Amino acid sequence: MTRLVRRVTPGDRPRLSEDEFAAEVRTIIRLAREANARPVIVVWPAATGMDGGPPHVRQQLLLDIAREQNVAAVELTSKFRAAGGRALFVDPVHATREGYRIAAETIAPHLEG
Amino acid sequence: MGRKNKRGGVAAPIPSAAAAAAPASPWILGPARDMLLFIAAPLLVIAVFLPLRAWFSSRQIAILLLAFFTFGHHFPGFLRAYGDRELFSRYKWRFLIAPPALFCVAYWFNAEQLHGLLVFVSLWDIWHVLMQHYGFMRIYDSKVGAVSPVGSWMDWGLSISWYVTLIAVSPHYSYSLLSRGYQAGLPVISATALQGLRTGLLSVSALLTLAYVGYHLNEWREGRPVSWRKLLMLGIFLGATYYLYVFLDDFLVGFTVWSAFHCIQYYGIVWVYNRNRVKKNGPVAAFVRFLFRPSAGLVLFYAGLILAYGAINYFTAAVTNVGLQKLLIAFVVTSNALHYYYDGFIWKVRDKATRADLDIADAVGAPAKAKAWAGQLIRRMSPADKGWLQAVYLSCALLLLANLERERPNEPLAAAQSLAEAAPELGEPHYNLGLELWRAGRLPEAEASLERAAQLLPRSSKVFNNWGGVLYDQGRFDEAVERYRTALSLRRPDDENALRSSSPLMPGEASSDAARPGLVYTNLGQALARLGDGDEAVDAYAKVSSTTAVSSRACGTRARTLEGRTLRRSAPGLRPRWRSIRRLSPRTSTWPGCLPTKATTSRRRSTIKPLWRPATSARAKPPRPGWRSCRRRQAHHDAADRTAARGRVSCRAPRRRRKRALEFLADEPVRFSGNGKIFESDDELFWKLKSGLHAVACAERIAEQEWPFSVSTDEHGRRSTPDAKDAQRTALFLGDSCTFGIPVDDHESFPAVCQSLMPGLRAVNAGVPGYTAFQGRVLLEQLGPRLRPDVVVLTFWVNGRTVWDHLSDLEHHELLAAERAGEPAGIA
Repeated sequence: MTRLVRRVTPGDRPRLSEDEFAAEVRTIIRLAREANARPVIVVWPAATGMDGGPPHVRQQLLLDIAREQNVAAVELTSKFRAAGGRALFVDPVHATREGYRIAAETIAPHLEG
Repeated sequence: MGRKNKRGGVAAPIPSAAAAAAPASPWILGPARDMLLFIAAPLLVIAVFLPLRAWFSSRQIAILLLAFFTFGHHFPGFLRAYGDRELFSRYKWRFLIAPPALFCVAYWFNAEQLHGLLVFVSLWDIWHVLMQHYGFMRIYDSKVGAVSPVGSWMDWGLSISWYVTLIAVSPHYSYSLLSRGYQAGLPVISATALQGLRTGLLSVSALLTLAYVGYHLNEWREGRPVSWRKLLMLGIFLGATYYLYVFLDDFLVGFTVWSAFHCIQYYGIVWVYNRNRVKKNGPVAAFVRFLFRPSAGLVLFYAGLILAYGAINYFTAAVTNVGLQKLLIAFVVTSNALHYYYDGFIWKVRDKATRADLDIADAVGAPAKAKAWAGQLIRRMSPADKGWLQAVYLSCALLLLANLERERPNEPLAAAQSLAEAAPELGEPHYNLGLELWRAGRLPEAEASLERAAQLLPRSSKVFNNWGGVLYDQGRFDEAVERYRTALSLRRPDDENALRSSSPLMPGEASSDAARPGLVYTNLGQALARLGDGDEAVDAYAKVSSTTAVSSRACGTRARTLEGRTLRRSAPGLRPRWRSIRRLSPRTSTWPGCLPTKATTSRRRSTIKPLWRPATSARAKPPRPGWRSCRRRQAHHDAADRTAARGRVSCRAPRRRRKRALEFLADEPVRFSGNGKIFESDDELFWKLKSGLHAVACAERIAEQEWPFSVSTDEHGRRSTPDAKDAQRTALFLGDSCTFGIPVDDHESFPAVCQSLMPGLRAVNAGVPGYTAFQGRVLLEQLGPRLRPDVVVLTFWVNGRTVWDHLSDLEHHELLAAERAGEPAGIA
């Protein structure tokens, strides 16, 4: 049905639909576990999220998958908001040097054995 | 079965010192059966199979004949090799070592998309069939006591001379052999040289014919025996060869029918041999003894076994599992090579037992002069030593061919021009030349070639579709529309459903002449849109979805047309987005005999794509042990191949798609200066970072502000992180440009900072700008087994939302796989 709808309706088809995105993330988690590696999900922030408001639907999807799969999730939006908000971004998604440092400091504790 | 002499490793008649008395019967089986099975077999198969064209397509006839005759006739030879205890004990090591060795060689050549083995087997096939014919001539001579060495030489020389001449003057056969040779890297020869070769061969053959006639007239006048059966057989053989190779315009059927009479002769003589061997209580295996008892039922059983063996080749074309198909193709090629190889020594008529079992007494053998010529050293060698010697020179020849193709591939345009000059009466070479000229941007010349191809192939929708494409690129949209409509009018249902007839057993591949209708409708729609005929364009797009499975793109285009918007991306080159450049046989793909499975390797510069199968670079790697997801990946590729095989995926050249991936990358998600220096295309991941970069200067400019940064990568194309020599643990960071670290230097990306914060940790920054979770998953499958990380950090979500040609990453991946797989039949 999805395919049929897509065929007859104009509109932009994203590279990954939300379902496909979720499936790929779950597959990565499974692959990591099968290889005895511990998966960690980083929910990268967006500059638009620095002004408050709910997370983007895909960010929320990542958090839901992390909960569902019992995977460590590092949510960076709140950390960025507290540390400087939009000033930590050079564009809508890429961080400044300081922003990356803050991200690393937040992620690093989750990398311990 | 051939009676071959020293010159070709095939035994030839040896006259006894004293002229042997002629056997009682001048026939092998008797007048009727000899005429049916040996002498007039060519006429029989022509009479039986050619009329079938009224009911079946050439491709269908060819597939059946290739499988159940050409391939099936290997079985009796193997039965002899492995069912004759005496023979097996004599050549035990050859029989045991040759099959696995040849199989590995065939598999490797196939996996590497090299064509040298095909060229080798094709030439060996010519020699093999000639020697069989020559063997029959000598048998008939010996039956009447005509055992003169001069006569033997004359038979040998005339058969070879005329057969090679007929191949050279056959436009189809010579074109096929040259195509395959060019694919294998053999030097491109000029039209003048080829014409000189043909003239020379004709002259030599004519002179030999005069000598031959004179010799036999002289023998007859002097009262020496002359076998009219032999002369009749020679005449029918050459006449049928001329008719099937040169005169008949349908080479696909001509070649396979020719092959069928060779096989019928083989079946007959092998049956005679084995029957006599059993009758005389020779040392044969119990199964052979059972099979060749005098019983009509067992004859049918024998035929059934042959058909069953031939079915292997038949089903090779139907198998959709890529891995299994590769194995089957290697098996088919191995069977061919083994057949030629074994027949070179198992039927030697110098062997007394062989002579006795063929009831040809001691009257035949290699000419006396041949013995002196052959060299004492080789004759004194044991069978085992001779086998090793053969293995050495065969290996050297194959290595030479493989090296030639890898190191010195031919320039495709030069090869295409040579082929068009070599066979100007065929449409296919002109078509392929037109495509090469189109690729080279020489549009008027491309148009001329395609126009010529259309004259010669007036029923080929593929030709008209690409002709329309060339016109489109010249801005002549109204003429392009006309050609596309012609292409659509030529479409026949059986074109799309026809099985592929390509086979290692064929000197060339015959692919469908049909353009995929969805493709043509899309091209038509774009051309109509260019003419401003929106309604008709929309109608054309609407038909795409009814003919093509992957239609979202066309629907997107249709939607945009409906909205009156310009066709995105089609303006710059005035090139229809869905038009693909496809080739007719022998250049469409690589190894024949199967559904598309492979792609050319990236090191191949030649675009003369293999005949037997389709061209790409590093195709899906085989599943890695212990990394279970790879099975899914392989299954995914299999699915793509199946989709392609069903002809449902419209294609564009893989190279172009990869290039477009980089264009997309530069255009959409990561726009920063320097990105053109750090990426390269990849068949699995669409793009990746180049390896070994050292401090490449890049910068991101936002409004008036610039953010410079430098990029270095390691030998695997991952962004550099500081050395972590004492690391006990590895963290693999999968992600997009945020993980990669735009716009900071290597040591400032968050994986690198994590490493500096965590002693004992080695961070692998596998982030690549523009990547989605799909690419991350594929990358993990590639890297995981090698890195064995302790932690996998994934940072994706941004890029999955972006739009790339209105196709998902999975669809892009499938299209690329299908294109690499050789672009399914029926496209243009």
